[in-house]
Amino acid sequence: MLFACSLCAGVLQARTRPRYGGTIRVLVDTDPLQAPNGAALRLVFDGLTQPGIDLESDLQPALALRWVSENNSHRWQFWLRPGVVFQDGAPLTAVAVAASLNQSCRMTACPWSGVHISGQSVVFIGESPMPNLPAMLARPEFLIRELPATASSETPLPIGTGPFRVKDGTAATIRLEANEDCWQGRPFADAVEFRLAHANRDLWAELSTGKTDLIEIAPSEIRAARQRQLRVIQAPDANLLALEVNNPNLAPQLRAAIALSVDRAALQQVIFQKQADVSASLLPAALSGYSFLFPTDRDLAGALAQRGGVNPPPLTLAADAGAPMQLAAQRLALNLHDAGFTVKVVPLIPGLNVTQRADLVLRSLPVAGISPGATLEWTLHNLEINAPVAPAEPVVAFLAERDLLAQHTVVPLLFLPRAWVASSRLRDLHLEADGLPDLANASLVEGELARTSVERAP
Amino acid sequence: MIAKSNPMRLFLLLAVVLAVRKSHAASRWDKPAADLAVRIAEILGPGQAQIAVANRSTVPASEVPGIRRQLEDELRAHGVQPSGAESANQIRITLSETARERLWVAEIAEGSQTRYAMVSFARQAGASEAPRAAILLTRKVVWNSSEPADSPGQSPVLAALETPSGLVLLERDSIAIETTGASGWHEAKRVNLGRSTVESRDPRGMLVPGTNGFTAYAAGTQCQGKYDASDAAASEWTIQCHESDDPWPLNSEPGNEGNLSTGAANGRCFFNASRNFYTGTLSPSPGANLPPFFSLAVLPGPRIVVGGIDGKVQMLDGPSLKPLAGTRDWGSDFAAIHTGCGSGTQILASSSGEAESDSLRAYEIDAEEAVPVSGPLEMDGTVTALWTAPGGASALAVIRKSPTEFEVARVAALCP
Repeated sequence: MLFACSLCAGVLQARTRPRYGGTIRVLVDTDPLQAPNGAALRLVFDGLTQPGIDLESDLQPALALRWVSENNSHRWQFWLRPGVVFQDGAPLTAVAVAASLNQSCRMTACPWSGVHISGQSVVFIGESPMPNLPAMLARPEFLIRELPATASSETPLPIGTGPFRVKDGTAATIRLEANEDCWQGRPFADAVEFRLAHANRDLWAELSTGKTDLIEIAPSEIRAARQRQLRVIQAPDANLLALEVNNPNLAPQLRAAIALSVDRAALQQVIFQKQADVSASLLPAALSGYSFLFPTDRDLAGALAQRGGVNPPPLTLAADAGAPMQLAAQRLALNLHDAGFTVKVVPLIPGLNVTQRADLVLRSLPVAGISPGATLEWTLHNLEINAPVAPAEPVVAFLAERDLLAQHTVVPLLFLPRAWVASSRLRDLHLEADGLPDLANASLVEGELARTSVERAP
Repeated sequence: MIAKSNPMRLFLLLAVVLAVRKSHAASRWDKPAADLAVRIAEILGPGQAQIAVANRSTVPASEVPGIRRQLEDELRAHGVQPSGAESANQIRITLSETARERLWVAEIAEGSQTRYAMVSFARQAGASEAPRAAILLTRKVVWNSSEPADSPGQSPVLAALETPSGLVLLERDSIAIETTGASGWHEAKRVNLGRSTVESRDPRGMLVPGTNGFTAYAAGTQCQGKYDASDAAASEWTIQCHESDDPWPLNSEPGNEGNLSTGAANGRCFFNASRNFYTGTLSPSPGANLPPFFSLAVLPGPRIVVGGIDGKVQMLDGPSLKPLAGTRDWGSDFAAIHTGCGSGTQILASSSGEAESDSLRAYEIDAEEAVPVSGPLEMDGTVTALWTAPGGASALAVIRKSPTEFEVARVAALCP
């Protein structure tokens, strides 16, 4: 009877406005500020633009209020939002924005050749047309950071304009606190604490003891988490799992044989526990609508026919050290063995360029769910494939992608979700299209609120 | 009468009605079908082809045969004759879609060569909701953001006000004047609130009617709107905004902001501009300190019901605050309506049994307990604002149906 009543109380919980206060505790698998799609990046920093709330929404203004293109998208001008300040109180200026973007270009290749300042606006000049630039500027790589004025022996805390500021951090923990002066409004929570997960974390214990409010889980863990009645939220199609074919000496027929011999269905069912979408396209169906035109079925007979009598050289296949990626690589090695290839799986060494890498690389690439053109452009950028920018017209974009994939230098395999388990204390949690949790608009239920946080309010 | 006198006429009338309905249902596919047929004909030229249609989208299966017929008709009009298996040409048409739009794909196979044609077009707005049926609460849609086809990303609506010269919408960043015509709602004017940054992530606001206009309250901002009464065209609206931390009226009843202690009036309260709640400091003072609150309702007596930010609903009856029983499943928003039913005044309170959809229910206050006097009225979305409508007999609610789709609805009561 008591059990039944406790269930009733849960069901009858009324919708209430979000409350201010409390600390959201998050357990993540990768460094929240350093990883390419780190969970804290959009909490600390903003871009000139930002993704819409979901795939159906348009790109939104952020630090830039408006923008125009000229000269066939070779020139773009972005006007900055007035009144925005960095978390240390310094005003956001065009000089600061240009400096931050120039710094970004030292870390990653940028589509523009120069950024210039024009009053309270920044102007991008490109040698090639940049039709997807507004969407590209929403990517984590181009978030705006305040650069330190002088060189210091100590690494300064990163400073942005986002809803949380970095309070302190160690190798295992990063703590953020609310930015009272955020241009989008103060976040509901007072603080967010990120901890790096250890290998044998117990999801249920972490959540039920109140140690953690949100835990990042791998796609292969989603099914088990649901079976344990945990609250799972996920962004579908957040990452593309693809096989890069790097060896330039492999004959086109052998590359085609590799593409035909992969068994996507087995990867999806066995390694990723049916929590992924099979795809032979670089874009998910929800973005392009035409991905079904790329056949996904394994064609071993076709692979053998393509290989003909050629004896391929022994190949190396590199993959991230994580368990699902290594298992997926082993599975692909078996697929290729069936087609007459000898493949050795090796760990991926980050930082190596294309020629230094293994013959084949299994990669998980973040998918920027903003627009088909921007997503494809960034995916090709990540794969270090130089290709003309895809036009917006669907049939032309499809033909361009088909021609690109026909070279078999990259073999799309699956779209993987980015997933989290959340405690019942955390409410109004929304995932961005790329799977990052929007913790600025999430709040904790009443029991977690510190009374002082309310009293401190002006 | 017709059925009795002439069953055949009834049958014919029914057939005509069905045909008209069928024709109407298929009409929204006319343009994409025609566009795709043109592109196919440009590739294939005049001749015969087998045609297959597959549906990989959310288009209802019942509409696919009609779409196929339309495609075949359009192809015939452009010289492509649908044929049987004897034709070497094949046209495989797939009704697909993305998260944002529909995409119809034609694979045109001539011998060993396959070529492609595609058309993309906007998804249609969702089907209209079914009408729904102690006190019976009724809901009438006043405005829906999905009606103007050119406004896909509606900014959050904080409050709405019906005036003789159009519907005023207070949004997070602007005030819009909407007028209605034969083709639905039309935005006649929009004025920015003049803020480039916002204070709260759960923004709230209020619209109070005045003589030939309104006063709008948003966090840190107050706006005056006036229209030329001699010409009711919405284009004559003048709206001026300025920074303000003046207290907000607690009710949208014009000229009813005098003394709280009389019960007929509602007073004012300071709103915490960087949060989502009132501070609890009322003017004039009701004679007791109130906690910070999300909602407040004044009942005859006078009795004041306060929904605190700690989730507790209390009643100020005389000088002391007392917990109000029966409010465990109330949400943060409630409003008083003076219906004449029962005791004459009820409180509409939002509640939710599911995360995705709210409901409203009417309560009467009996001693120190809220007693439900109506069934729940499903709102098909999240109630993000609720207030007593001018006149007091009904309430207006803003419902968030999706992250970018909002609806303003009037909730009234029918007496048993």
